[in-house]
Amino acid sequence: MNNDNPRKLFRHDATRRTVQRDVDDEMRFHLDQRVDDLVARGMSPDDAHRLALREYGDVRAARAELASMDRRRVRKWAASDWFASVAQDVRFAARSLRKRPGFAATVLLTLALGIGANAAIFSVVDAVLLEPLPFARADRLVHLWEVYESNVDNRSEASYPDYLDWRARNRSFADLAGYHGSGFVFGTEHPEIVRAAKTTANFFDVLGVHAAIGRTFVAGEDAVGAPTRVLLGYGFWLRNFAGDRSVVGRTIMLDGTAATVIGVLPKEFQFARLGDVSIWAPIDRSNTMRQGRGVHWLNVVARLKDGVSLQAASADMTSIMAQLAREYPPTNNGRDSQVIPLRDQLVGSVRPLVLLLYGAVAVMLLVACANVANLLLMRGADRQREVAVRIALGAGRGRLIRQLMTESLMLAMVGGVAGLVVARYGIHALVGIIPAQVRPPVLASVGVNAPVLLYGCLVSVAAGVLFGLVPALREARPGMVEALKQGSRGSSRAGKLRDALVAGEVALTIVLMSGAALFGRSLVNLMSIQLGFQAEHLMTASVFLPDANYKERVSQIATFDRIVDRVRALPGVEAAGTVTKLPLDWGNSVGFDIVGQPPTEPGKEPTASYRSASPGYFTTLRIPMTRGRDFGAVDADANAPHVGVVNNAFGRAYFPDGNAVGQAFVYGQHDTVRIVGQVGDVPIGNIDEHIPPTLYIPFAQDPETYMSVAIRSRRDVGELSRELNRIVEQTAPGAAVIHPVAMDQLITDSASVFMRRFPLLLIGAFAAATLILALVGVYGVVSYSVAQRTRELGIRVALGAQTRSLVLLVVRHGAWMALAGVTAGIAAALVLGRFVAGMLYGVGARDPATLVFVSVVLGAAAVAATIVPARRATRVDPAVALQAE
Amino acid sequence: MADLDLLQGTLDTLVLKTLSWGPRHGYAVAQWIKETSEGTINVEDRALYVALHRLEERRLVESKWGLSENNRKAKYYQLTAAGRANLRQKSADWTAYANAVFKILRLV
Repeated sequence: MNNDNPRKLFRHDATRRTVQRDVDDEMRFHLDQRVDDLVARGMSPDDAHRLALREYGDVRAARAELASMDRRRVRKWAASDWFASVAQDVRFAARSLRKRPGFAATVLLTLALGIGANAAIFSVVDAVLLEPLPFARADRLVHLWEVYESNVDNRSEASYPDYLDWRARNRSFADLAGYHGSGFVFGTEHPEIVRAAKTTANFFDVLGVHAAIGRTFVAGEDAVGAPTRVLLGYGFWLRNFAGDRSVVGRTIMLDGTAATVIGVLPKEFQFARLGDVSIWAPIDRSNTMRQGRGVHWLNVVARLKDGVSLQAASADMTSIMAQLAREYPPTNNGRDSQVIPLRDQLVGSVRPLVLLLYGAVAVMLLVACANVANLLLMRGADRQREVAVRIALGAGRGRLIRQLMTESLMLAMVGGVAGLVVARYGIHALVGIIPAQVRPPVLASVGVNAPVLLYGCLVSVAAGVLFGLVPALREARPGMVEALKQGSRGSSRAGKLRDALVAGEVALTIVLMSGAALFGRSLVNLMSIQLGFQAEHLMTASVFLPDANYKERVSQIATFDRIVDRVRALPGVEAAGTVTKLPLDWGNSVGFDIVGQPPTEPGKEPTASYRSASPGYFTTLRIPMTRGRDFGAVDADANAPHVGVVNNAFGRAYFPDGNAVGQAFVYGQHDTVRIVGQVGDVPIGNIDEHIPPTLYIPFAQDPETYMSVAIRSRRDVGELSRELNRIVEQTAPGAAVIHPVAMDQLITDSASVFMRRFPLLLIGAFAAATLILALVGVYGVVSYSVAQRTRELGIRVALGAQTRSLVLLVVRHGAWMALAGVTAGIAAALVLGRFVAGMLYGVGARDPATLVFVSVVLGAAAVAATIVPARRATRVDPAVALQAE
Repeated sequence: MADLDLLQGTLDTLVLKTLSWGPRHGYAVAQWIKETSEGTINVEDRALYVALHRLEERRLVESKWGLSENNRKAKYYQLTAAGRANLRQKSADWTAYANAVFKILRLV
């Protein structure tokens, strides 16, 4: 059935409301006509009337039946008309796009990038912030901390006795469970370090997680001295046991001792704070650790009882902590607790970053939409005649708008499909640039999944409406035909609209560019931090001696000494040393009392970050010796006095003249330790955090089986690590070399650098794309206006206008848009700055220099974009221009 | 095939035939069928109108309002292309059917 407009004029155009009247009219005509005929044949009017009715049949039933048939018909036709006209619109839109392949390609490319980037970032938003945590009723789970002196920055894990008292005394939780991160050396032939977590026996019950195969822990399996039972992470099980279900009940070697596998966790299970955990074991800390109320090592999760609010639970915990402070003042004075939703604990730190990136892609998509809207406006002006003809042929305004919207939505949908392809590869690249040690495990499974597909569709439709509606309303505006008759060429209002869109694009570009610039400056600031050691040409690796073979301190010391000696002898190695914790690697803290200073209140004694190092470690890292001496062979003697080296922060913190050398302190059950040297400060955790007092003890006086080796050499890291492997294999059979890496790489991959580099890369990319779009917008609008003003320009030339004034005329147009955009953009950047303030380093969110810089760059680029159209304006030939009319 | 269906299908075909010479209103269709069949086919006018409206719903006929011979407002029906094709098909079917029945009856 053809529904072209002219045909419609001839169709009986019933609506549902007129149906009954039409049926009645038709029936009355029939009966009147019959009566007339019968009367004409000589029948009396009364008889004629009766006969006509009898011939007709049941009039009332007929009325109802015919009306209901017609109503059904009208309804059916309306629906099929609608579908037919949509199909027609789609065909028409496809035809008109094919006629302008350049236009269609530009729009589709713009949309594919805009929607693609948007969907890619959304996949991360979805995975990190929206998808439910893989635990039963995860919204009822909370994380508990101990907080010292109401300072949330000063929070710590719980001590085991505190945890037990929380479990016993609380009225708010169904249950509490504890965990801490750990590691194992897995295997004996080719030992590897695997990530592990140790939990209380009820950990999985509190989370509501069941094993995929086998079982989770049962009460008592976390007791001191219990045989080790372990659960395998799903990925670890697939990699190492090829998904063999019979692994349950088998024995595996962890840290050189046997452990029994009791189960495998489900595929979707992950616990973001711990990363991609391979092995879950019950906590196995000694009685000393478990009985120390001042020893804080247990992370605690809890499930709120039904009906108990977060506030109520917090209040409950605060009162318990107050009781404990009264009962155990030495360890618990000044301690409170903090209860936060588990989700906030797991993803809270990345939420601002993820939302920031999402905001950035949203801005980019807005600019893309503005650009497409502009293209549509210009094309609309070019095909005014075509639209006028359609109006003259009887097309209604609504119909016309719908048809133009069909075209926009079609562009948006095709752009959206292309965008999802872009997103597919974009997500891959996105995850790829996140260093493994800071990559949240949820990102392993991101991709174009159902939520992302749905989001892509919604965003495409929204974009289509956004960029299509205004041009459609304009193109089909009432009075458009009159305007055309009067020979006007695109009203100045349309021109203003286009200019405003471009100014808006410029403003949004300023916002993105200033964001990128701020992260860029943060990164530069961060990388120029004086690290206190030389990270270049420094390789590090960890060496683990299996406990079983190296129980004796003497053998530990001797083995590491031999390894370091042989490494030093390698060609191209300038220096080498070992240490328990390298810079950027958090370690434990110790508290102590300084000899000759008044004793401190319990819990307020001086503390320092603690690590043990071999002679030559400071030289290897080029940590300068401020005063005193390095460790030496004398300290290795079994009867040598205990000595320590401290950093400058230690000296400043605890001694009025900043000089710690010659002083002594006592800690734990150790003898008095004399400070023999003082060295420069190096970061012990994040490089952008302040450096605490740090204490180094000679390795020979406090050996461990897990040490890091630092090697200073200009040689290739790969080669060096192969040689280190060989040395370790020969010197210490069964030992493992773990994570050999260049120190500068370690810094580049560290969380603090990543948290600036990642947004810089992404926002920078979005800003670059947006800049290009905005410049294309400026160029397009200015070129178009030059083309439209050919006649005016021709007259100006004919009247003797100088080339310079013509160029100025055009450039001024671009400059005005840029100026308006830059002004609005700076205002927006100042307002939005607070969202990034917390993520920057060494630069303010409203840094004037940055804003001026991006404004100048963008302003100059915008003016440059007008040069080509300006030159075109000077070449207008007045004769041709005037003839063209 | 039920009797009613046969009758309905037959009536539809007769109505289409009536319209094959040009647009007519319902009254004219009714009179023409009565007169041409010389009273053999005697249906209520109501059934005829139901047939007309049904044909319109199936897009075999279309309707428009016009003026009758004596200047009354009347609803005129005319065949659509689909209606014409349907009439051709049904006429052929009927002829073939009638011939077959006829042949059998003559054999007896």
